Amino acid sequence: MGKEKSSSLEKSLLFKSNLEGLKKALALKPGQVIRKVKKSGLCGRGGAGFPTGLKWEISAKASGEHFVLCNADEGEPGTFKDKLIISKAPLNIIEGIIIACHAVKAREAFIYLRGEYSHLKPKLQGAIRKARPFLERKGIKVTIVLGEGAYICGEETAILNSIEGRRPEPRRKPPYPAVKGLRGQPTVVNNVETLSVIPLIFLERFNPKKRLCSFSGDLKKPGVFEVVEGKKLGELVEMAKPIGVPRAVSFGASGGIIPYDPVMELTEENIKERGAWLGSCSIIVLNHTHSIVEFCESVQHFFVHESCGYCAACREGNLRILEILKRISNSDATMRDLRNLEKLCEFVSLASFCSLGRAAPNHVITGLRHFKEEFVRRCR
Amino acid sequence: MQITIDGKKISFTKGETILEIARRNGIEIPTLCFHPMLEPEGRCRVCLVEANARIVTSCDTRAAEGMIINTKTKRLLRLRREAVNLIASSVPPQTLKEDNELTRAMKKVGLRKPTYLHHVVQEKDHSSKAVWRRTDSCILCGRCTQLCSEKQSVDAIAFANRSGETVIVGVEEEPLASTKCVSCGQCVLACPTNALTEAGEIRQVERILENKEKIKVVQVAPSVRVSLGECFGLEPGAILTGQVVAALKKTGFDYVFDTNFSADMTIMEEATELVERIKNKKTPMFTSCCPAWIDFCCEFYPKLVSKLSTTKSPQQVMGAMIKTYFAKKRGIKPKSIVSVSIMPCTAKKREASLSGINASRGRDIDLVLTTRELAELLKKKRINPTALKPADFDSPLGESTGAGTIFGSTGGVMEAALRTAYFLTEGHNLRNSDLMMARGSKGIREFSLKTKKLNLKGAVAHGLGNARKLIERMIAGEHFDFVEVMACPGGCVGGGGQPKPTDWQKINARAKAIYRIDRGKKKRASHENEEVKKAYFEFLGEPCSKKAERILHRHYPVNGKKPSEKRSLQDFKAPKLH
Repeated sequence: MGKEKSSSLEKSLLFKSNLEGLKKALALKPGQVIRKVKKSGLCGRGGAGFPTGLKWEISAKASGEHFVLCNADEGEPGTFKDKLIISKAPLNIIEGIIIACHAVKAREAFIYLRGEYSHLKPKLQGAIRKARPFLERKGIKVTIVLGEGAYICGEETAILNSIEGRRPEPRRKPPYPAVKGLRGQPTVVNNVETLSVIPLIFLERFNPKKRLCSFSGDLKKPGVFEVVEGKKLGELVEMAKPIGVPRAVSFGASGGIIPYDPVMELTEENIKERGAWLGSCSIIVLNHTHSIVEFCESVQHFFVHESCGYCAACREGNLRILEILKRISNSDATMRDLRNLEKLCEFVSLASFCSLGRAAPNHVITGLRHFKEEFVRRCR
Repeated sequence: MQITIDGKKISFTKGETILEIARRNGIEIPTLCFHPMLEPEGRCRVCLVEANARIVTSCDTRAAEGMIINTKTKRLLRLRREAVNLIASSVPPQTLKEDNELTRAMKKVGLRKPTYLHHVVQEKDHSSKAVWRRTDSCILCGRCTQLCSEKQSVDAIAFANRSGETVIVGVEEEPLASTKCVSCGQCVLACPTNALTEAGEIRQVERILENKEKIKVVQVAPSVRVSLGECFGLEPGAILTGQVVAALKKTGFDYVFDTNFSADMTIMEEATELVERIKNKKTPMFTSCCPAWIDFCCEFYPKLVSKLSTTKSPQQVMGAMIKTYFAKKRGIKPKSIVSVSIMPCTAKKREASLSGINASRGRDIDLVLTTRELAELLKKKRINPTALKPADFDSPLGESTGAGTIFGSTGGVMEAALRTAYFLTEGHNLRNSDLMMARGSKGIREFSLKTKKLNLKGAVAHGLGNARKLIERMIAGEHFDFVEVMACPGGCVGGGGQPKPTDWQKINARAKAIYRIDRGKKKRASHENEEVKKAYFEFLGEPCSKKAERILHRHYPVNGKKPSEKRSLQDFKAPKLH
């Protein structure tokens, strides 16, 4: 999806720490490392946005054999920032992993790499080789596990099941993986981007407002850009050179869709206000040639295909949402269908077992909120 | 610690779930996938409540101090109805016409008809002689896989595929008969719809009953008489011994025999075998009454097969006696007898079809009905056993002692065998026949019995998961002389063919009834059974004689596979899955 390069990146978030950050972090005691990460204000970049330092602290306090797990199963449609990080700055990830292991006193770490990214495995292996002296000094074993292509494996507890060789289904939370994760032991699960900026914290080069954003859709220059939270959406989209006039932006598949507002400042609060969710920070730009109904239908196809089947809400609910969307898109639906659609979305978003299921109808909910007339127009 | 449910302050102990607390206080929350004997998995999303204004499932959410819980807001009622609606939409309309847990849940949430159309493709698996499976009425509650894997440690069925194509299949998508399935039927007992059923034989029985040329003989297992009443509105544990006999006579059977009789006979053989093995230091000996346990042992522990008692199960002992002793006595050709058995069990269906188990030329047991099937048959024929005048079992295979009766409960075979083994070694009966140490509902129970001539360490396990634990301990070096294993929780009273739904309360009530029958009997040890004595005198000689060996004993495969079935032409035509 698109080209992923930007010359300015090399100087900023993808700044290569070249083991310097790691050295500085290892000079500190685990407690100090955790305190520093907490103070940095770093929140998870995978979507949920949980404070990373807090997660480490909780895990470090839990007793047992600790594990660190890097979630590189980047499966959200329209998100491809982790791919860029793995190919450009794999060493940063390994540094982050070693620092995390140091902080929670883990001796074993896993990288769960998306199956479609198998060509990037050598990059990670190369980075592991480079960091070998440190790995050996700390007695840490890093294993790369290849995913088999299920969206649900991006969910932190489903990964655990997948690594253990079980059916990839989410587990009940609590207990959270930080306390009871892989093989029932405390496990820190962090996203690729989160781990890759860890060394920057120790080089005093980290800015929590800066993050990588994947741009795709009706753009001449789609790709990964570094954005600072609080910038105007219009300015950001301009960087990627829109084709035609943008009319809506969707935050990945599960973040929801909102009308394009060039003066809106890109902050979590502003997006939340509109019923959507920034998530893993991916922006899909839609121009006037696209119908929101059809966009929702295609996103829904994705969720129906990827539902793991564990709970009835996500399995059956998403299927029925798709049925109705298909009917609406074929101008075959009635107003009753529309009411049923609203009921279904409410149910799936409130009653699903895992966070992926709960986020699945976001695009329909926000679509109905901001573009209802488009749905109504196609109903009898 | 306290929480507030619907404005009422309620105290609770740590670790309790919201559902448990609510039910304890008479607050009704509808559930569907929840099963009292299993850890909640939260798959169906019906039992929603609001906890501190958040929507959660009550079955798997543990209460926390000060939680404020609502169970009856408008939003909750709407969401619950939607959950049941979606699940009901996924099954074919005929499933919604039956009385099952799904239709009961529909009534509870006030849903008359599902909104959406049924979408699942039907796939049938009739490969197994005991359990039939169909995918279309499955609501994917996961009880069956959870039971099979966690409780029974068999892992014969599992989830496959995802999204709308999610199904439960035999592992590696094999037909059930080719998996390690031991036919215990616990999955059937837990199934909230009719996706898993026993291999139905009602129609064959009905056809046989209309056949005037055949002599129709039926036997009733000990635990059927204490559970059948539940299907006719009686409390669990109601004893219907005479009524069952009367009902079966009314259905058209010529002779009604008591499996308790053959249980007594089984004990004569098994106790003799036990005493023999102890003398020759060839212990441990495992009981062999439970066909699911036999399959389990053959599949998972082929090295222990030589430790299984070679005595047939009471069903097969009765079958053999009917087609040899009874036929000879009455001067009937064995071929003209149709032998039916009423069992609390699905595995008995497979056992009856095994190839190496028959004493006569054809099958010793022709047809097997579960307790549930019997209830269905009686209802079809509009016979209500509770309204009938009790009748007696027929001679010569109808007398029974208390020892035969307690076969229906976990620990019963052990107790019955010890009553006779004690007599065989000491020469007189136990002063107190109640061997309390064998009873109870703990998963694994162990004890020792020391008398002048008998020094015996025994163990009882019920539920195959417990059996596996016990065996692993024995492999690690622990020694027992005599081990009883029942595949189902609680023994046959919790069998896979018993009325649905079954939970621990019902199992315990049925077991209590069994022991009540035992206590009411004058004769409580198998060797006191006059008809059994007569059968040995007239026909078999003595226990474990050559003739008894031929008729009442069997062999087991040692190749790590469960015993094979007798193949009929029909089997070759059976449609294969995929």
